[in-house]
Amino acid sequence: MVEAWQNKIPLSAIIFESVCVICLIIITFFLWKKYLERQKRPVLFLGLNFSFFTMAVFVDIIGRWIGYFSYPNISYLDVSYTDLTTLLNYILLAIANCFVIIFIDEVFLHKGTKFVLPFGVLNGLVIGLIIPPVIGWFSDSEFGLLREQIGVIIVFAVISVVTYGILAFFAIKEGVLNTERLPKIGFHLIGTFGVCLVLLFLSFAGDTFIIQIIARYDQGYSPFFYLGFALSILGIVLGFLGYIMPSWFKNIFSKTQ
Amino acid sequence: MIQSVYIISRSGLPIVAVGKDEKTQEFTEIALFSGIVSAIQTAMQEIDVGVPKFVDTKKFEIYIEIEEEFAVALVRESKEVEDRDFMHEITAEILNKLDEKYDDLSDYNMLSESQINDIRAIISRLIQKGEKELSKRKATKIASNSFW
Repeated sequence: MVEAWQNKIPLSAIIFESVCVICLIIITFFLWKKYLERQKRPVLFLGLNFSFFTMAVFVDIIGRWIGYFSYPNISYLDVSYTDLTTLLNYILLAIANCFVIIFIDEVFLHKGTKFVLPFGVLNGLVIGLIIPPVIGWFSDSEFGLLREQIGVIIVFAVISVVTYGILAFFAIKEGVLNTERLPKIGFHLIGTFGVCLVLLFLSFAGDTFIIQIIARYDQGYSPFFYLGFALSILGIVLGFLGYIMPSWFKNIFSKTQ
Repeated sequence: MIQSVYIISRSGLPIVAVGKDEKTQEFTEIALFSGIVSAIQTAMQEIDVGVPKFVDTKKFEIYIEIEEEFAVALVRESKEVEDRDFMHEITAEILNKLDEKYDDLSDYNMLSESQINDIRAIISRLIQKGEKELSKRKATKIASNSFW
């Protein structure tokens, strides 16, 4: 019986997300280190983006761990911790989106509030729509709260796909146009990081969709969930190489030049 | 940011001006500018210090490229020193493109209206190309300074 309840949250899902959090903590640490060394605004905003991204996934994983260890004693249908933490995760990801938009503007566009403000408003709207159900969870914590927010989640996924799509587009374009080896590789890696995050949000949208229509996955954790986290881990590794570009990595391609 | 480009005959008469604001297109503005650039060049030649290729005022930078019949003067608002070589490249490219296409660019009156429009189009295209290249270099510069 105990195992049956624990199986509501697969251990594999917890492991995938935990690896993702560890990768995020590492890249965030190195970004802040880089900011302290160089004191540049793009690094500051990217550091804030990754900090909120890390907090978002960390909050999410806390819910999953609590749920995993609590469900032997309480019914997950009565108290769904993951519903609460996933909603909090979306709020933090929406804040992270705002910082990545400022980062894109700082590096590529230089349009200021004209570009940043509309995205800020849209992400603010998502946060505003998620806060009431989060408050509501404390009076009614039954399973299913997250599924009621499907519309907001889809809007948020679209905003995130567009946000990271813009990053991917400009970074890859810059990489293609560049003739110098180091910026060319750096921008391509940043662009591929953006593509991975676009696919991550599409995978989570796919997961949300598939659990609604296929009975086998009606308690979540479809293959899209694992695909999403696998892509995010891949994206973080590429992002680490693109943004941080450690000296051993620079040495590899300077030797092959 | 490239503000305007002036094509000036070697005698100091204006031929074509392409600019971001309407004031650049005004005849008096073009004539005055052409006269001043030409006067600076003549004066410096007279005192034997050579023909200037670059004039820096408090507000603008002027890049000058000269050919036998005409000169190209590019006016830029920015003061980013590291872009100066590139601005010289754009100015030279405008001069070369016009020199290749037109045998005689020494007199405005010898050009037809369609030729004037073609010259404007060539200049506008090269300004756009230059601006794009500048913004590309800007992103690379920012990313290099910040991360790599």
